[in-house]
Amino acid sequence: MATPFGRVTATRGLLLRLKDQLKFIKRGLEILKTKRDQLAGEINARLDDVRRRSDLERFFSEVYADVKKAYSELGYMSVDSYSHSVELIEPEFSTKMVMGVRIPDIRGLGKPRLPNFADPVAIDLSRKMYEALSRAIELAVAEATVERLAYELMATNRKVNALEKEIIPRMESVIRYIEDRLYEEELGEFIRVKHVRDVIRARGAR
Amino acid sequence: MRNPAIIYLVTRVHGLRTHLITREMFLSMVKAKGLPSIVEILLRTDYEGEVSKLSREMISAAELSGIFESMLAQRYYYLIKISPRSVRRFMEIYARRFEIENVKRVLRYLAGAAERYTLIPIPREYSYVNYKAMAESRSIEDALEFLRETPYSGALEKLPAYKKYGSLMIIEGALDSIYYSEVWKAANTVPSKNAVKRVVGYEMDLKNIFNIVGLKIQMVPSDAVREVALKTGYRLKADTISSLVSTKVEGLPELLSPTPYSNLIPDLRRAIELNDVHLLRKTIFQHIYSEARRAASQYATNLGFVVAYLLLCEAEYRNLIAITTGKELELAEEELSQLIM
Repeated sequence: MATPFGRVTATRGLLLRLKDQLKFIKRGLEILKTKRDQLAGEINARLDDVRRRSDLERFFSEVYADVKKAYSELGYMSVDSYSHSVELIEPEFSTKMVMGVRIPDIRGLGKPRLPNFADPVAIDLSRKMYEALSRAIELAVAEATVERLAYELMATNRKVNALEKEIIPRMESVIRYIEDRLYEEELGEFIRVKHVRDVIRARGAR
Repeated sequence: MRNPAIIYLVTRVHGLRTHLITREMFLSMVKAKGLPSIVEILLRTDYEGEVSKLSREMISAAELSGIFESMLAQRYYYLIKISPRSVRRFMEIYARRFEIENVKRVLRYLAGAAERYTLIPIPREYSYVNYKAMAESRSIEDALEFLRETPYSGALEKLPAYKKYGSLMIIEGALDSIYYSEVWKAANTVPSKNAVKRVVGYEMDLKNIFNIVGLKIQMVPSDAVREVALKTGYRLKADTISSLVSTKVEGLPELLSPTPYSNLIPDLRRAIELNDVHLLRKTIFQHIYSEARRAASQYATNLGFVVAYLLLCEAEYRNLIAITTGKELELAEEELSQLIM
């Protein structure tokens, strides 16, 4: 018979193999569904982080207004000098795995140390800029993470749908076909055997 | 009979005071369309010489701030030249604020990864520090060694505290303490010392209050604030300063009630409630310069007037910085006028 899996010869051996494969694929489907649910959960858990973009944009506006004020009060020469001694933000970037997806991880964005100058306006400016930059980096990491998880979720969903709607139904259809053919053959064999038995009995009775 | 040289100095300074930019001119600058229009106004002032050298393309707040800074320093050093011997040492020490600022700039340059630093021009005869050599040091500790044979050698005693906190603010505090201590000692030796000490003392106390309150608003630990603050003051007693340093920020304004600075309390309270160091700065510096104007009227015939004039030069410098930088950054006119002191 020509099937989506090609021509199949209806044998018991093939039926058993196909049933094993179907069982394996269904287990795989369950695992993929679990993975899909976990990925969706991970994305949901991070959506609040990503939604903070509008808060961050507002914060940037406030900080920018403060930057302009500080520059006006201290002057370019002083701010330039203060900026020379500001502690650099040096986060450590690495990756970690979540549900088989490599996502960015970041360390080293702690609170800034004591600044290297005593002017309170300059300290205020440097702390706000540090916070703005730290929050921007954290948001970038959150957005990159959600993007990668979402991409993996889409891919997993495609696989689940393919299995659920195409591969498993086709396999089940082939298995049914083989079972039907085998049943027909058994029935035919049974009738033949019965007929032969009847003939032999009839000859014996004569 | 008053020293004729002092009379000459005070009279010259009265003449110099008329060259200062008036409030009306500042307000014209605030309303000006842009920096080139402000430069047009500056061409009618003492800044004409330097400002006229700028081509239209070179006009920027950064360029202008260098000119303003240079002019401020020149005014101090000019007064040293025309001061009589009895006053010259005090004037030299009072002008050391520019060298202190230069030392701070070099130290900040060393602490970071900067490629350059800019210094306030100081005439060679009034400079004790080899900035170039200092800037080539491999560490802050090595850089501070260049202060050993200078009037600022006391900063070396703060090396252990600097290492403990890992912050140059300790050294900056030490340099400021050394500066005001020397100014105070020198003020005791000049004629009309009470007038001079009143002007210097108010500046010293108010800047100390600004640093203490400002650092506490920024949640700098009290022991670090203690290292930065001046230990003694003019009308701020040592125990009041110590209480200011150790009290929580919310309780600071009330500590000023028994001092002549009690009029600052409402504004300080507001600045603390709003966590607003800009409001704090404006409050303090407006008081410093109001006091300078009042002293200029009260001490019109003695050395107090000369010191008050120098503070008014500083006020002019700050106003010009605020207006030109604010104009370049497109601050609104209303916001700019509020920055004028």
